Amino acid sequence: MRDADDRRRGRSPVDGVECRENLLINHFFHDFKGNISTVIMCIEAVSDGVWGEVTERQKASLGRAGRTCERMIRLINNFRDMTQMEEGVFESEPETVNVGAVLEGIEREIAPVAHERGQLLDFVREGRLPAATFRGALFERVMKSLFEVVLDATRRGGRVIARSGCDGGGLSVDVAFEAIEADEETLGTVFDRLAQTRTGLQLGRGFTLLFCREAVAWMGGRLHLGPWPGRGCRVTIALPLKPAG
Amino acid sequence: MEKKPKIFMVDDDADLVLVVKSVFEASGYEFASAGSAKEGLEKIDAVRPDLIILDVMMEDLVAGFRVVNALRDYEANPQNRAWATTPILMLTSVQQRTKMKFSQDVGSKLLPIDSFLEKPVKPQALLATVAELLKKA
Repeated sequence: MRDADDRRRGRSPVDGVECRENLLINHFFHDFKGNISTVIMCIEAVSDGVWGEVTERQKASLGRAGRTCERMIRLINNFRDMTQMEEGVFESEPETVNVGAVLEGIEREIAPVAHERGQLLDFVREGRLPAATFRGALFERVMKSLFEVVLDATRRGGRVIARSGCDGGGLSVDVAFEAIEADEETLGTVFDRLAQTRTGLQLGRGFTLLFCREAVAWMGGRLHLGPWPGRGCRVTIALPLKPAG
Repeated sequence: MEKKPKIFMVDDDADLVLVVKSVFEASGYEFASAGSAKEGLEKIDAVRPDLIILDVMMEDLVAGFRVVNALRDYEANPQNRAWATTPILMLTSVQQRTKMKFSQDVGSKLLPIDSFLEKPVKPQALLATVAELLKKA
């Protein structure tokens, strides 16, 4: 696979190679998702009690296995979509989405994970979040991916404060989390493919943050990772929204 | 005794087929499968399904689409006329990549299937979709 910067610059435009590379990527995604899908189905079937009762502890363990598989699916989807964004061929249909409901759904999903890890999660939605026409599915995946990284980076017993609100036709999300402290410059390296390991945000998690930043930029917004002085880090997202109707 | 609805799954992922078979049989369905589009079309008369669960990428990138066309376009394929209205649920991991859109209308430019679910799918969601399609059929 070529370096992403080469793709952006349009280097190596050998049609046959390009075509085979895309097919290879397609087949890889298909095979990976197919295999993980089978694992998820097995886990869910056991957890749902299709073949008999399971205990709460077994269910919790199966739940963790299922969530991990879903993370792997998100990771591979993020990689695929970022590749397409860099190649300028990514497409995502706008849809009318209730922004508040999307954020509530994410809160419902991540709250048990934070609780299990002994983290204190505050979700604050300021004012009414309207229905809007935008890339809702992509936004939802960005937010889920972002919270995965945030919960991984937050220390046990640490606090995560997620504030969201609408202001002047745009959506703002601010996620502050108690983690390793780093200055602005060091945090900037998270988005550098080669230097991201130095920040203490583990390798691979930096890729997820990079995807979040690129996807938000693709939607016309901005993602910034900065310090939360004396506490940890904070991610802020500003995203333009077109009210529905 | 009430006849059990029969599900026919055409998918080349043998492990997925086994787990789906297990889920449907535990929920009171009959189940049969084929591992390729070609085998699916060969076996359909013998299986006589009430509903078909169909993969897209099997022996080639669009094998599932070929099955849909062979079943729905019964003027070109009169031997498949008996299955022209059998509900088809497409189960795929390539929906986003293919931008697949569907319609139940034969002759529409959209893919004439009844529903699709993107992998990974949860067993309860699959059972609920199948039950709904069978109720409508």
